[in-house]
Amino acid sequence: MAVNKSIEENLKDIEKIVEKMELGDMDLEASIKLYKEGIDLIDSCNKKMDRIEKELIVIREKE
Amino acid sequence: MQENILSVAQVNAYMKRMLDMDYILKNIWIQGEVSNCKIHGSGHVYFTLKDEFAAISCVLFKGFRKIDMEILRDGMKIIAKGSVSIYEKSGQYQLYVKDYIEDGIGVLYKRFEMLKNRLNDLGWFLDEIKKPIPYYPKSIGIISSETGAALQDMLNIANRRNPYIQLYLYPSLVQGEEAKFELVKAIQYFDNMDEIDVIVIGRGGGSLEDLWPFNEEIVAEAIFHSKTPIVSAVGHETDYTISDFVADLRAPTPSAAMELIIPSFRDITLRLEKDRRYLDQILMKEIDRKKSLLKFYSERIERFHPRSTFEQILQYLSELEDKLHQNMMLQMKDKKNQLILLGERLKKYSPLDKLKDGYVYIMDEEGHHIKRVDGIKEKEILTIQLYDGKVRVRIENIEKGRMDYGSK
Repeated sequence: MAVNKSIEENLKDIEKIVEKMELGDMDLEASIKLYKEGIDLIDSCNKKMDRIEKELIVIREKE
Repeated sequence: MQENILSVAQVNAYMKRMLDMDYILKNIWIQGEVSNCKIHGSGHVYFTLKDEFAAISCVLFKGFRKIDMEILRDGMKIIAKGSVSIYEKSGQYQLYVKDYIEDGIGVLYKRFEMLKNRLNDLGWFLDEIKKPIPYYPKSIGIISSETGAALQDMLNIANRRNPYIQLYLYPSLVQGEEAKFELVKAIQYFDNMDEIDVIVIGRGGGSLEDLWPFNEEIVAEAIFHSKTPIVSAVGHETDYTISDFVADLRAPTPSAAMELIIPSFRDITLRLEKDRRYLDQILMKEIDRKKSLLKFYSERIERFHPRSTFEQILQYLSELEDKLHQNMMLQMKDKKNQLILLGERLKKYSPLDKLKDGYVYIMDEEGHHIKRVDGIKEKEILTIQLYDGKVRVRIENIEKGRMDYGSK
């Protein structure tokens, strides 16, 4: 579900989840579900930051 | 009709008001040659600007602009910016200089100002049309000189902050007549590349002429029409170019541009880690809260537990049993009494009592009770039971027929 979102959107979603959970006025099942969602988002964020060092690519289109 | 007679001061004050109200005179550029330049003891600079036809007095108050005697020197052609007003004491009107530049460059300045005003009027600098810079760009297109220090600075910072972001370089001239064409080509090239999320145009500091390509209209147009957000990082903090105004983001230096657009990998991972720990914490807290709530409720509900009801029932049952028992005893006693009464009553009909009253009980030899004459034979031996003993009798005579009460 969160696969196509950008890292920033993911971070915002995580923030929202944290805020929601901080309020604490939900049943346990809902908060566990939310917690799982948050952890999934964190993992997906981590995955998105493709940890392979990139080399500079120089564009040479002239002749 | 009376003619007004004014004091000199009144006239000068009036003239000053008139000039100060004038829109053009408030902000004017005057081109001319410096002559008679003197620095007063107060630090203010007085000079005259003249051309072949006329002259105007100028004053530069201390503190308005750094006084550069290389430029403010007799014979120099300059362009001075300021407002024209009157010095009331002498009634002399003069240019109050706020800024000045050497002429030549001055022409460039004017072009810069003109283009800036024009594009500003077109709304190209409005914040509302600026494209947001993505928070985590996957790829960044850099337009810079391949050999410049600016590029090295940018690469260093990018690498330090986040080496996992793909950087592309489109080497371009960044000064000289040809530069503007290369800049435009580079912008369009990156804009057409799908993977580029943001474009950075970077160049180190330089003179106005050095930075001039970034004040060219075709470069401004290319930036304006780019669908990809563009960061302009041209020159040093104090240098402003048209590119800076049109770009979606202006960075004071090329290094600063990288700081602005490259998200620190460490910050993000730290933040993610913090979020993860925090989520753990909140969930644990939530579970603990629910647990203690559960405990609270379970203690409360204990009172309504069937067990307690059951105990009550047991108690009630034993109470009932007791009652039943008592009742039973009472009834038994009652029956006993009844029985005694009945016994008393029964006694009345006891055969023994009858014997007492004189009735007898007759039995044959086998002990059968004889109630009728029928069946009794003469000479038969019968036993008669009386109250106080029995007698054996022999039957002499038998007469049938019932006892007649009447004849008795």
